[in-house]
Amino acid sequence: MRAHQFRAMNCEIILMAEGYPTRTLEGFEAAESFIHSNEQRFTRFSERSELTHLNRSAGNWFRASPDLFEIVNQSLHSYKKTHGLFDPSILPDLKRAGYDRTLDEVQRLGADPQPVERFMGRDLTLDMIQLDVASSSILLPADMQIDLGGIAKGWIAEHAARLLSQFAITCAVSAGGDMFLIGTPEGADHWEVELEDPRDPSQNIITLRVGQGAVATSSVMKRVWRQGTASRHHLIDPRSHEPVETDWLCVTVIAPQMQIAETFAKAALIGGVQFASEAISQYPDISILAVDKNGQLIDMQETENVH
Amino acid sequence: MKFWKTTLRIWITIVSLFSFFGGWVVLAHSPKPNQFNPANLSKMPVLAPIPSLDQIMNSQESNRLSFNNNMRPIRLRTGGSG
Repeated sequence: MRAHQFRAMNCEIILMAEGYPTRTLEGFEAAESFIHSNEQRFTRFSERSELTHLNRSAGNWFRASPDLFEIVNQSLHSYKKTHGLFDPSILPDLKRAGYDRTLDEVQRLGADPQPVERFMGRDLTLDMIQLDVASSSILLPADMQIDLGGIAKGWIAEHAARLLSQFAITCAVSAGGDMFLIGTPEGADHWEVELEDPRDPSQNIITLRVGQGAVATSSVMKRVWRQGTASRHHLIDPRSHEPVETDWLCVTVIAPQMQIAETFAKAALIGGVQFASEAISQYPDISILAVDKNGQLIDMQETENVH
Repeated sequence: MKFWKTTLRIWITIVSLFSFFGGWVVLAHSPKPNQFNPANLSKMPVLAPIPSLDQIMNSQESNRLSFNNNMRPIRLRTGGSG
């Protein structure tokens, strides 16, 4: 198994592949280039990104690339599947919590003090977004801003893995812990994925045996900064418009598709045990694992994925 | 009528014979292929022996190690964005 590691999207990217060596290296180059170029398209921290242009055009129809259109469409589906817990339109709340620059800058320079009052515009919900498939156009309601952070990262990871698979027999792309796996390593019928202890990232809580598909983890212990005297993180509860307070430190979801894994990891962390139980009953092909504040692993479904 | 048939047979016979001998003469005077003579062979370079499959696999393994030579074996870990 060959591996290639680099930094993009504010996290460590790991590419792994098995196959003919020369082709594998070509695949690594192609996948890395794909990841860097798409990061520039979907980041909210670049004035020139397509996402920034979409947010600026709120109130007017915006002709989007097929990829951005697909991601926004996926976001709408995820919003509906999670009853609004997965909501990319919390961007104003995220900025208000201090995450208005890249994470590196926020952590290095500190966040601005929080404004006393939340902006009370008209109540905007993500399902107010209109899509026109024929012209690949998107209409954000005026005053709405969206952050595609997690779902765009997942989309990039899955597509990078599919690109890499054209050069390799078996491959994996891990983007900050969100990973997409294609095939299984030679001589094995599964991948081994270590689940990090959220209280001590140098330790593992468990090793998961995972087949082909997606693994996504949302954690309140990552992307953390201080705003005044308060500790903040990047997972906003769309019901309270504040960083979520939860008994769980992280949630990991294993699913056939990246979008499902990413969506349900975030929604289960925000929605807690009740949402996770409902998700398991509605989507039997996903597995949900949570780690609580005591470091206790909670398996929401008796599954063969854990040993 | 019989005269003409006999004449035609003789004519065909003569033409066939002349064609056969004519061809013989042409082939007999055509350039001949070179005779094999080991002394005329130019010296061939000595080639390296073909490596065994095991040697090829070991070579690929060393490439892989050199690619990751600055890091520990990479394992897949998940813990959230960071």
